Amino acid sequence: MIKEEKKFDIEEMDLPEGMTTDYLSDLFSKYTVNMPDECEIERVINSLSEYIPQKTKWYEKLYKNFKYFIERWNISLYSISHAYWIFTLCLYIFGFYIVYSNGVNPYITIMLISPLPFVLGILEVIKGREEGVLELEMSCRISNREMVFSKLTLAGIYNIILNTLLSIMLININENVDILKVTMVCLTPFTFVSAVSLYICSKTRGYYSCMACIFIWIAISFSISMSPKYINRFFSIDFFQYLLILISGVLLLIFNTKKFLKTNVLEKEVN
Amino acid sequence: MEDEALIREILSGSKSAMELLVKKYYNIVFSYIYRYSGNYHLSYDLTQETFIKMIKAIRTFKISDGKFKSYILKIAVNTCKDYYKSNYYKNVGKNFEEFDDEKISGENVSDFFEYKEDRQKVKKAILNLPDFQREAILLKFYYDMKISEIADITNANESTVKSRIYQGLEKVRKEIEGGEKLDKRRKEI
Repeated sequence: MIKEEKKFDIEEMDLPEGMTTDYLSDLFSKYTVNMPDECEIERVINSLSEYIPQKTKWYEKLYKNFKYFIERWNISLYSISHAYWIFTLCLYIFGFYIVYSNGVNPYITIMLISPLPFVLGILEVIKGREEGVLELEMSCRISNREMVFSKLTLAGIYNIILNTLLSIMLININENVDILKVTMVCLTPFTFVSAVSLYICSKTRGYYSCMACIFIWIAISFSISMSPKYINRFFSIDFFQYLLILISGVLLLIFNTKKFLKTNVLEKEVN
Repeated sequence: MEDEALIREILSGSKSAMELLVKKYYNIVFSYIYRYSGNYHLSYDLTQETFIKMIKAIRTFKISDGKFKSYILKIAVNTCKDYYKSNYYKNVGKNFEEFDDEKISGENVSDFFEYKEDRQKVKKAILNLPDFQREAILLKFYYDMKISEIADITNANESTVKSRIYQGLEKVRKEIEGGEKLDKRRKEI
């Protein structure tokens, strides 16, 4: 058996007394390894073939990503309770009804309702996590992270659709409603309240903290709506200020979504 | 062909470039994992896992940084760590620690036994080291890596790596000298 000749540079470190390069070279060369034959290397090469990156065109990539999200949303769709969909839809119908029949301020109505579906969506994620349904749902078809993320995005998209529909309906029934203003009034609280709720829920990770966020938001918006001084100030902000607030709200939402995913997915995986 | 060129080819979907890269680094990865684990069957599986992880993450390799050897060894080091931390190892793998089945073709019988005995001593001494000292010693003395490279691979700072190597070498010597004294005593008896 021919021993391997070991060469190494030990200039940059101290060695224990009596240990020289030759001694170490001789010592470590004794621990030889029988290398596997070609068949074993071929086996590894064959197993790697399926993972070789494929050059894809941008539209193929886009289609792949779209398909990926649709598949995940499809699974998440069934894991969100029916009560969630029905309750949030009723909330918007009720909002439309009070504006239409009672003449309540449309801006205040949409401002109050706009973040609620998403916050209730967070509640759904936490509920699934606390009941241990998440592990059951994700059984091999979808990872824990994908499940939380797809539920959140689903709630976000559903929220935006409802906001858009309500805005269109409000514009149709009231000629004085400004499309730009109504968009800003619903998107600003949506991003900010969602971001703050995600932050609080990732810190406390409790069902009740999410409920508390909803009640606090309702209390704040009611108190704002009762005070004409605040209402005037809120609605007299110009477009660019709204835009600035909106952009910071979106950034805050992205940041807190990441934080929420980290606490609700990584910790769960460790446990 | 240079590693960087091979990686570029792989990124554009070349299977033959992947074959060349695997053949070039297979022995390095396999020998590291074997010396770390002391188990041939496990080394086959972990080597395959290392290469799968590498090919899946090849887009994240920064070609400008160079040193593919450090990159693949880092994956091998982490694959070994993950395996020994896994529930599979704690529940099942531990019970299948194999006997050494090294095939050796010696010049004569006495050479063969002497060689085998020496090899076993060094192997045992290395395997008895704590994980962090074992990986630092293997990377230094079998792959001639710089302290800074080992620090990067093992996520430690340079002075920690130096002290791990120093303490590891002390333990290796103690283990080997202790074994030799015992052998002498046995022979005397």
